[in-house]
Amino acid sequence: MTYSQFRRRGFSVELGVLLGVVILCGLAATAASEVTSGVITQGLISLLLVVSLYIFSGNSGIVSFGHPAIAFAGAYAASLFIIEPGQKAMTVPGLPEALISAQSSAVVSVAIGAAFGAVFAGVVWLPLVRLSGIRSSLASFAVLLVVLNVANNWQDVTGGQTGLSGLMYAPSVLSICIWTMASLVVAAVYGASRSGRRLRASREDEVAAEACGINIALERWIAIVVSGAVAGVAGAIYAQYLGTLTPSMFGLDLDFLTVAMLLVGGMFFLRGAVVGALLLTAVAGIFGRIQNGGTFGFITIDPYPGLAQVAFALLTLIVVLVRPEGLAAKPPQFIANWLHRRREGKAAGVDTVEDSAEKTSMEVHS
Amino acid sequence: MALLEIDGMSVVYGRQQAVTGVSINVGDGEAVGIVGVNGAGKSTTLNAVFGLARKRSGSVQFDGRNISAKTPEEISSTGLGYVPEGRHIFSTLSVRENMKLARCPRGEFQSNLEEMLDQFPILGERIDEPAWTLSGGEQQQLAIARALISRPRLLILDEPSLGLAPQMVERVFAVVRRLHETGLSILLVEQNAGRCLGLVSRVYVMQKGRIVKEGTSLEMANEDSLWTSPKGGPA
Repeated sequence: MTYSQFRRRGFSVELGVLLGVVILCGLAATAASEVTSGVITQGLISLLLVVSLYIFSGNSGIVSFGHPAIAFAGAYAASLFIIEPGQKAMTVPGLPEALISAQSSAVVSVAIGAAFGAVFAGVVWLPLVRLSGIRSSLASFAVLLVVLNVANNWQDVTGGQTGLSGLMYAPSVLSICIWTMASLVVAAVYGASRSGRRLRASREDEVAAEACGINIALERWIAIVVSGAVAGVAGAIYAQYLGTLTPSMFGLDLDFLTVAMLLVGGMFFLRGAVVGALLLTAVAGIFGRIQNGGTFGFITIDPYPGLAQVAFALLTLIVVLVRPEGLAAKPPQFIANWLHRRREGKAAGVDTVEDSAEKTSMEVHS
Repeated sequence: MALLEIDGMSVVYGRQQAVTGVSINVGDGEAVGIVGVNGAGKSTTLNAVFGLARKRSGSVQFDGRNISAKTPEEISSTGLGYVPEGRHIFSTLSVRENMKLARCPRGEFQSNLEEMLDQFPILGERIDEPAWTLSGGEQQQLAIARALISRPRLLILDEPSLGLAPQMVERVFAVVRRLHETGLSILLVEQNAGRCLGLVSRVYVMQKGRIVKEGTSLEMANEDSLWTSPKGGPA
């Protein structure tokens, strides 16, 4: 089996495992207590948003702080279609009559959220895709600030700080699982596509990518549109789950949470998005219960307000310091062994001054 | 008419004038060299030709078309292949995947790939291996093959001998010579003036961002300034 075939098979196995993890989470959420089920469901919704961030940031290497803005846009568009017309007329009277009377099913509204998220990201990021590195990250953060402020103050159209309420559908665990699995498949298929490969190539070496004739800005734009569609789904599901939509739900807390989840799991890996989202949700859930105090078996714990946030931040800090590439970055041992055996077997001649140093220091990337 | 015609091109980085009024011609089927010490502006010139550095003034014509304002993507589709300094291969991708990233018409990739593998047999032997397992010389061959897969009319090479052991430099230059013999035009930037003169028919000498001399390889071989740096050391 060649390296490429091995990687392709590894890709299918990895996607299968990740889909299996989502199914297990769904089953656990169904069987668990209401509180635990809530934590798991929130973990799956977080995963949706982290996957959308991975599609752009993981493949381009540019950390985006603007994804909550896209998710908000998707959530807003989706929510408009699942609120009673009478309530819309009261809370958002500035909307055109056609939108006030528009209604759809839950599934269609999520699809509308995906489409609007994709269009919003495609239009807003059009000038941003030419930027690289920290300038691009800062620009995306600026987009988030603008969107949040407009949403907070455009009362007649967005509902202002009180937002939209009365969303008629609450998503079931099954539908959340299906949307999450769909987002993983989209991320994996995009990653394996020609566009995904070209974008990752530009992440690895921008000069080489340009020398190959790769239009980096175009590839980034394609990624942000795909990512925007998934972020739109995430936002729509999040709003439906809470039954309300306010700009503050998509503020800096969610921004930090999403970026931290991807960095902790491993920014360049789809499995990193899954590991980061589920692990940090679990940490927040466990310490969230402890911080409220109470009796756990024989142990009585006093309330520690803010413990969950501290635990979350500490874990992020430790991972960034100790394992900056992310918890899930290292390939499974059998892949490392296989690559090592192949290297030993081939034993190519060392013909440059820096070759030996290069080879020994080279990281094994999956 | 020249295949590549650079006319009075200047490049500025911030406040620093990196290249000033450079004019270079490469004829169809010709191999031309640019030599000069480190920091003379050779690589900047090539980057500007390929659209990777912004030109302040001057024009670049390729095959009669003005490509001065075109993007690297557009330039690569006009028939210009570029191998930047330092190989710049995608180390985590396999040799085949590296080749696939090059701009190539969809239906022609397989036949072009097979032709490249005939020219670079070592790449054929390691086609599905990650590029970081290749030796430096093999990586350089991969970078050249990747630039050639789109069948360019002119190949621009920036310091192909950089960081390679002498034996491997010999091999890489033999490959470039063979390519030139098939009719491919070549613009070669090289610090090693001796190697450059052995391959090209005309040479431009750059110093401090300007062309200070030009002539045939034969004429330039007797030029003392070619063999010494501005500070008096060997070039």
